[in-house]
Amino acid sequence: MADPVMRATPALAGLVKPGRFGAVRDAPGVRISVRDDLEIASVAVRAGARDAFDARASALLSFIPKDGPVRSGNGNMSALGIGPGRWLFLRRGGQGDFAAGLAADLAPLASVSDQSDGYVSFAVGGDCARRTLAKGMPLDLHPAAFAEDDVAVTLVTHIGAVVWREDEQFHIAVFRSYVGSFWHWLSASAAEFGAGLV
Amino acid sequence: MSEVQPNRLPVGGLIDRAKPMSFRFDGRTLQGFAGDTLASALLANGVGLVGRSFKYHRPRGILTAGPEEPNALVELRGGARREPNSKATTVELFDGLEARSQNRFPSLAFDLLSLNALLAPFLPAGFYYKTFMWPRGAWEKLYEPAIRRAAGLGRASGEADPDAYEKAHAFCDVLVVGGGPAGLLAALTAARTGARVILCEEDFALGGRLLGDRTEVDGGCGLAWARDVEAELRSLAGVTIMGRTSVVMLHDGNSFAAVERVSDHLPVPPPFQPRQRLWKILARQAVIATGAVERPIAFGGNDRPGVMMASAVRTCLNRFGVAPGKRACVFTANDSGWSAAGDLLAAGVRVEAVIDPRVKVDAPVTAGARKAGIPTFLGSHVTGAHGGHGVRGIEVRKPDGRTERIAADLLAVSGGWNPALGLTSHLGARPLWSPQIEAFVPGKLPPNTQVAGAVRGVFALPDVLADGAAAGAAAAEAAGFRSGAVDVPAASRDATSLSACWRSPGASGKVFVDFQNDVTDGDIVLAHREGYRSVEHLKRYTTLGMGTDQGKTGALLGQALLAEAAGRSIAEAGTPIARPPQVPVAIGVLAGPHRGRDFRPVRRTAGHDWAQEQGAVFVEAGQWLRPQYFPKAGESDWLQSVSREAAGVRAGVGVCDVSTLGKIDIQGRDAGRFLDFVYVNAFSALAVGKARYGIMLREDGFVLDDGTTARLADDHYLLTTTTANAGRVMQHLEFCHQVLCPALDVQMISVTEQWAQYAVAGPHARDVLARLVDPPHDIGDAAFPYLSAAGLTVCGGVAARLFRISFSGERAYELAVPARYGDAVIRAIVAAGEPFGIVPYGTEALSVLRIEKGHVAGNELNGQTTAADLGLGRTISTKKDYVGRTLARRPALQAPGRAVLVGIKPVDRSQRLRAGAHFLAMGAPAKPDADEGHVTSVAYSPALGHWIGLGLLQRGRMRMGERIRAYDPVRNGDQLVEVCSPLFVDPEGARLRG
Repeated sequence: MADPVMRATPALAGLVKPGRFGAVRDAPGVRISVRDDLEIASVAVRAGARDAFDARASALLSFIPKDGPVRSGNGNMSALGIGPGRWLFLRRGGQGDFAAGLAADLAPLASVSDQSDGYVSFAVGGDCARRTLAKGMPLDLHPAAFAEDDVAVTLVTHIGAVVWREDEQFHIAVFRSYVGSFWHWLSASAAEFGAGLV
Repeated sequence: MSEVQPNRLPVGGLIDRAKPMSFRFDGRTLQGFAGDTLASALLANGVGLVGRSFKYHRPRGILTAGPEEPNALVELRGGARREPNSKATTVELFDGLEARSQNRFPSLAFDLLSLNALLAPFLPAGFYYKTFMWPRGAWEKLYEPAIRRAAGLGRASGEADPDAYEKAHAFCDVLVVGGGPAGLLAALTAARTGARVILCEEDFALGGRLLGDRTEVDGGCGLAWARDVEAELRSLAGVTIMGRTSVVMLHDGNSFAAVERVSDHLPVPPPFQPRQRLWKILARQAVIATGAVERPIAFGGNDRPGVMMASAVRTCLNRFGVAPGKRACVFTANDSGWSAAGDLLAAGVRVEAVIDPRVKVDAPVTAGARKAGIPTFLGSHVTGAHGGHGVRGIEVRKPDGRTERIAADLLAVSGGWNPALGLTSHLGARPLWSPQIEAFVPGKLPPNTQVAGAVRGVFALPDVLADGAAAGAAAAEAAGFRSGAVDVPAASRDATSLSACWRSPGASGKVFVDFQNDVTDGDIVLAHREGYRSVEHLKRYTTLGMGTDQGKTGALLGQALLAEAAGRSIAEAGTPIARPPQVPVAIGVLAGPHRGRDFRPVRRTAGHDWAQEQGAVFVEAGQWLRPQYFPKAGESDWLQSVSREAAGVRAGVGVCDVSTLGKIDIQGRDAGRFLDFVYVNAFSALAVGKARYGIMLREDGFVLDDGTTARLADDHYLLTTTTANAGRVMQHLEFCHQVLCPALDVQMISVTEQWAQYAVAGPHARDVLARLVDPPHDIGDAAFPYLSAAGLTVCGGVAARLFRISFSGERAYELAVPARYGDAVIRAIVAAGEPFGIVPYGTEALSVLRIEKGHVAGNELNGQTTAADLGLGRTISTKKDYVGRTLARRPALQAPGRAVLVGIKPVDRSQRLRAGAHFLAMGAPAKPDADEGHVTSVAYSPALGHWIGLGLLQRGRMRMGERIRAYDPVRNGDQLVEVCSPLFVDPEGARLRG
């Protein structure tokens, strides 16, 4: 018989270990963390259901997801606009029942798919975060062009990504299968500035 | 130091005399200083001969002080870092620099190949089209290799580049290209408005012409002013100064490409630093302030070492503290050359004469020379420069026609100034002739672009500064910023009067117009005589303006001579349009980090590590890496492993990672109707908990993709695609929804990455899964027959989806679990399967199994086959409309003679089949007309014990049992095969249902 208790494997298992890498600096120019506390679900409003959806979201989630490429939320939960009437919903520190709960809350006004295992999210901060990301991201990340809570669905070093700015850091969600290539690029790009992974 | 560096001036220059640097040239150890270029350090050491020319192997020296240098091309570094064709004038000196001359044998001073010069009469423009025509066969075998050996420049190392390269993106309101006086003031003016400014300068120091001359700005030294501006720019948060950065291309949408030479000035890149970085800069507005390039004059021996551009002489003196000669003459057709005479005098160099073709030159311009008692020759020309490896004297032809020889070891030449307008032409604008400056200036400017300073023919420093400030202000305003009063500093007004002088009358000896390509005035005349009237044709016939310098110094000279030969004005003759890149760009930096394994991203499944532990051989499937087969100890080749795996599935049970197949969640009230529309078969009637095979057509009626789709709930389907077409199908579905049926309530999202999915196939498949599925879920055949689908839990509570579908023809299930459990679950499956001898199998065995069952895959879904061709006609619904329906009814797609799917087996069962072979009827000639189709897929069938194949054969279904030829001229194959049903194994499907 198989072991009845299944072990979840982190997407970056064997690829990374926490600590400093790259150039030696007093303080790392780039700070990277892997957001494995996030649960993720895609949400798309059903045709003609927007008003009811907004009312339901307001009542049950205590926020109405904003349209456009921006992040909105209620503290623990947020919604990244990735298309008209489409969001990636994120929840911090949940119990693994996020998508199912959302689907129940929003039925039949929205289509919900669990993506918690589909994406891996990184948070990149520090003085040299922008210079690091410029090496693979064709986006102007200057605060004047990409402010707190802005969201973009874009490419990072030829890998599809959802990028947003939260708490003065850049957050990047990439599909799980790409995580090795993505990490290779991110770590190589950050190395010249001195980097730390937490 | 001056003993070591005989030509170094005792004081002056922007070099750091406290930082001596040692370098080697052709094995000789020499000294220079920090702040030198290789060229200035060579000249400081009295090394005037640095290379041999391309065709005639003429001795060549250093002509310029910038990236326009045609002559001083050297090989840098060694080993894998060997770097040919580097311009010594742009190479920043570093301690330990190793440089070699190129294109000479056995040595630079004694080059046997200079005998080529004796063959000059046989090597005119286009000689390779003429001289070496006969015998015909000798060109490829003899002439071309010999010419290539004798000509050409440096050699690449042939080894992998050990350095890293990066790509990066930058954004700004105003991009300023060029850090001379115009660019500096443009950048400062724009930056003071609050605009985000990027200033790119090719050189390692800002200042442009101010680095090389002695003009005054703001009542002080021009360079000090430049330093102040630089300091202010660096203090502003919105400004980025990018030194050592060449802007090489301008593309549509205000997008510029620039190459930053991050570590070229160092022996090796520092840790974690690239050698070079390719920038894509998106600028809302741009100011092009790239200055101008001084052009030579055509006279005999004008290519000799010791003949230099006047501005380069000034740069040597003022920037590098080097006197490139001891007895100098100046030959200038404009006022700026006279300043070179002044600078030479100031540096204590003996000036033997100033020669100016103009009969009248303003008195203030000549005053300095006259005061110093220098002989001046107005209305005169230099007709020849004499000497071997360096100038020893010049010949001057005076207005009365008499000539005079003057001893000199340096001749500073100024034939005028060509605006460096390359970038302004990159979008196709043709330059315009300016009679005022006797040169081409930018034509129609690219959108959102300003030009400032010498690049648009404004030469006097006060005007240049005003121009830069105005352009900076205009650019900032156009980008939405308000500029206040523009502050233009005062500057000394330099004389800029000029008159073009292209060719000295009465020039003797070889007269060069393009030094790098050894194009002479005679070549231009010859080309014209042979009918090359257009400058574009002239360029291609004579190679005028090609090469690493792209004719920045001499091309206009050649064009002027062509115009003269044709009796036209230069304005009429025109000039070729400059194409990017503006300066040579290393291939490495264009590739950036995307080389070798990093050429493109790699996708790994959750089961990758497990497969690797099993010793899997991986194959690329698009970006995915998939296990191809799992060799075991003692197996000598892949076929042995694959046959074992395939046989193991049919005999017992196997497991295969199918996570890479595309998975698309389709939800909404109209999900079923939408699927009816995109598939040829119906899905709205599919019961919840059931799966069905579906075929999707393109609009043109050909098959796009196939796969199974399961209904998970009334308003929720899960559609699968082939690995190869996952992205394309998603795109197709979005198009169908958004454009063809936007009214339907359908939402789609890819969930490929969410799920790790494993196919468990074989007679014992259920036994294995029964050990994993949690109670009370029942996967018995009654509760969970073929084509069932269910959500359940496995391994003690892991949410999963189970589908009873089969590609192998065996009893089979596909188990999907959230990707984080993918690794644990594959290990659990294998552990559970151990008592049944479970076999992990890869894509090869998968293929064997599907070929045995006649299932189509990528080889058959080749974009040219219809559903009917593939034997899937019966799945097509006639009761509904669907994408591709109308065009699938085109007569040609319904023609009875179409090639359709058949099976084949070799008549001699011991023979191996090959995909790609063409079908020929017995007795038919092996000609394209007789082609009746081809073999699409082959496999060795362990079940049958011989090779089998699938193919597309004309009227195939009527030809069962017929013997035909499988003809493969590429691999010398010609086999007899028998046409049969594509269902080789279990045609009734009994194994499928268990």
